Amino acid sequence: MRTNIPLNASLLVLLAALFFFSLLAGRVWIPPSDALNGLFASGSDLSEIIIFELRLPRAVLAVLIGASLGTAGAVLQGLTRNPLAEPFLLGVSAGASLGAVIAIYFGLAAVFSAATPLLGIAGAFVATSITFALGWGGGTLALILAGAAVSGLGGALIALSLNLAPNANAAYEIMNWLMGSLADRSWDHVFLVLPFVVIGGAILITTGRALDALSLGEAQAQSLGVDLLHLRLLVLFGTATAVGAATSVTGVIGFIGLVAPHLIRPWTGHQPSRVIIPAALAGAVLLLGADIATRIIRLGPELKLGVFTSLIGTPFFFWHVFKLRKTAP
Amino acid sequence: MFNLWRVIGSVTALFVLAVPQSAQSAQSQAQIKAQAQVAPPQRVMSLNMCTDQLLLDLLPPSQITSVTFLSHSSPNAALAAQAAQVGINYGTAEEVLAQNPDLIISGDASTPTTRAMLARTGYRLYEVASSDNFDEIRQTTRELGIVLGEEKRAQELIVRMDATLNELMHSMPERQIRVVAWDGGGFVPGRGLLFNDILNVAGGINIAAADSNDYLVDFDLEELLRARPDLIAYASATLDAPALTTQLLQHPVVRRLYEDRQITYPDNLYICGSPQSADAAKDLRAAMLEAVAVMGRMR
Amino acid sequence: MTKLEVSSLVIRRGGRNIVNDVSLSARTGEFIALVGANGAGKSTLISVIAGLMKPDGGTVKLDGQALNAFRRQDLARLRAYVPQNPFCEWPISVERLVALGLTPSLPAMGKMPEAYISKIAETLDAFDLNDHRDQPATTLSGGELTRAMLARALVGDPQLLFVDEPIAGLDPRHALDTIKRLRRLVETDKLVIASLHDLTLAMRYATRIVAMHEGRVVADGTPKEILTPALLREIFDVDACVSGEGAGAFVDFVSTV
Repeated sequence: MRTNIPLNASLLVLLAALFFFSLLAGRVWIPPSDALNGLFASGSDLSEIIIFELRLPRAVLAVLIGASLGTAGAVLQGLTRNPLAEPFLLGVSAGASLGAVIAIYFGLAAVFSAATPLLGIAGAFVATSITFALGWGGGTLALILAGAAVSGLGGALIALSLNLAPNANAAYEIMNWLMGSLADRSWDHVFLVLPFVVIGGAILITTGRALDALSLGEAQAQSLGVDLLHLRLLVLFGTATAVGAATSVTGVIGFIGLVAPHLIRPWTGHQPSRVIIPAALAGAVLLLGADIATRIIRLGPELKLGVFTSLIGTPFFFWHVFKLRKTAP
Repeated sequence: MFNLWRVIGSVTALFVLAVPQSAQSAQSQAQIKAQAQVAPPQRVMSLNMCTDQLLLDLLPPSQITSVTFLSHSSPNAALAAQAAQVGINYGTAEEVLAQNPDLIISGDASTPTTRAMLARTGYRLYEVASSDNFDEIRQTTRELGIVLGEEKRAQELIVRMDATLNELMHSMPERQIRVVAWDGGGFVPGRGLLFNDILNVAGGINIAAADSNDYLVDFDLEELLRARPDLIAYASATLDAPALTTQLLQHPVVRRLYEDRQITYPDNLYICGSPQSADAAKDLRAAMLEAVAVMGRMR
Repeated sequence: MTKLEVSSLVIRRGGRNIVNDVSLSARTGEFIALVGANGAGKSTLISVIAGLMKPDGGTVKLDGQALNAFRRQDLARLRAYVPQNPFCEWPISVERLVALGLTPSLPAMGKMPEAYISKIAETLDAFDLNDHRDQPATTLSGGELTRAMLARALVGDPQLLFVDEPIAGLDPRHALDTIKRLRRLVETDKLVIASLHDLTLAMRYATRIVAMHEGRVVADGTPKEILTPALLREIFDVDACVSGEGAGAFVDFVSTV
């Protein structure tokens, strides 16, 4: 029986390399020796401070969030048996960003810092529920359209909230929310998000076996003992918790959840349960790579993450379209 | 009854009206100045936040029809008080028609459609260029004085401004205070903006402007740390309500290193150049010196 | 031996009774062919007996215990269900597909026990799927997929097998092969209930025929007793000719009434 061990190991090695590289990269490159020093001590040396207080939390966040997106994407695709399912396209991320925007710009986060991830989770939960309620049972098209509708509505409400916010400059920050950014994040953000990502991710991982049974369709899965309602609730809560919290500190990040599982699937025999953990690692690799790109490729102001994740995602869409055209009658 | 021909007629009329008229029907700036010598304007309307301030400083309230709502609700109490004495407008065409000014003052960034519309309807529009340094402030104030028929008053304001500037120049602090002004979103005013002139006169130097000639420079935390400014300056509007910018203030690094080394400044005085900008420089000098003194004591 | 007891089952959809007061008893060691026209209620009945759908009236009991009193996993181990036109969503290997049949028996955590691995191999062999072991299930032909789905259903050694239209769309050879396999299960003391349109095969291989017409059971007995022209006219609205016996029997539809 094949296992995932070689695949996971390779992904971990790649992730570790990127992680270290991420500490070196930025507008000013830091030599590797300083980087190693900075990892362990936050002294008063400038390079050490930059590594420990700025780049290290940023890299950790990229890994956490990329992993949560990859996991959620793999599980959503397994549940809906729809290759286009992922948090961004189903409107989950837009809902989460809306929750976070309300928390931050209307003063809730100032009172209670966990308000941001919690409202992000609530927003993600509501958005996912609406998408599923609208699009369930209508096939791929219905689900994607429902997701697009919820995403569009979420984006519009984000823009509205920013316009109504007390801070006059709020509207200019919209690009952060719609395109995602990891700039200037701190350890505060990491600890705010960590428990939710871990809990949500754990919930999602437990759905693996049921998703395998679901390969045979709902009737056969049910006959094999899968509680379909329970499964859907697990996916809903797991996705909302992990992606909701993650998006609340970064803004909307698209396509990672879409592409990571697809890259992994051929290596795991297409079996849903085997895709989950490697997809998490692949998601982490992709997002970390995108973040490094935003810091290395400078064309004036720092590019948003969404620029690079779209560069990853749209070729994927084209490839999918071509594939569909070939197999269509 | 729905009459197709009436509809076609209305639509055609709209198109005709929408076509910009030739420049011959607009009064040129020179003509306006000449006019002021003969008959100074009695009902002046300002459609721009920056020209509001200038107008309120140069003309008595009886000659001002209205200034924009932004001045009426300005966080700057003095400006709001001045504005309260005159009418209010929201920059719309209806209000221009309703208030029927004999001169409209605006910034130079109004849209071509607005300009064309005002020209077409026969209103006199004088556009004031924005000022990026004290020289331009002098020039603008003088010109506006001519246009409003208040040359003497304009001269008084300029003299007062120059006196303040001189005073500041002759009492510069020992060494230049290194400042980064963090306007929010990672952008800081670079070289070429009024902010820098005010800062220089106050005795500081904008580090962000050192590296680039751009108007707004991207400056993230890493750069901030590397540059090691003495102080971080925030526009007060940035801080009065929560946003991603205010979150930046709470970054552990900023808290640790710059807790007591922050000052705020009222950004409207730095966006809009007017003789009052010299007073802004004086206030800035005081704030900077105080912050630096605290730093000195702590060391 | 397990007894299946269906009493007064009623299922309502859209205002009418799709299954209308159906009762029957069965036990392991039978191969029941459920026959009837399209829309007679066969698929619905099988779904409810398999415990996948709740009836609006009546009960289904296994050895005296109502279906909803069973724990999900226990019921899953006891009975297998294969729907009409089964499909596999992902191109997993045939071996993995068959392995899915062991899902209800898997331990909560950890790898599959050795014993199960050999069970899968045996089942693949029994269903002549060794050549297709690593082939993606989505590339199988109709007959091969049916075999694979049956293998999946039986790898866990359930006592009961409920299968809806197992030979729909199969060529004669594969249809015959499938029905023979179902019949063989009787000898291993299982209960098989399958809905069939092919009355010739039903007549030859089933131990019992249950005929449905507009939601009701109109006949229940051995093939010889049940498959008469009169009954066929009643439930199919077609004139039929029944002839032969045992392995040589066949049912032929002559003309509409």
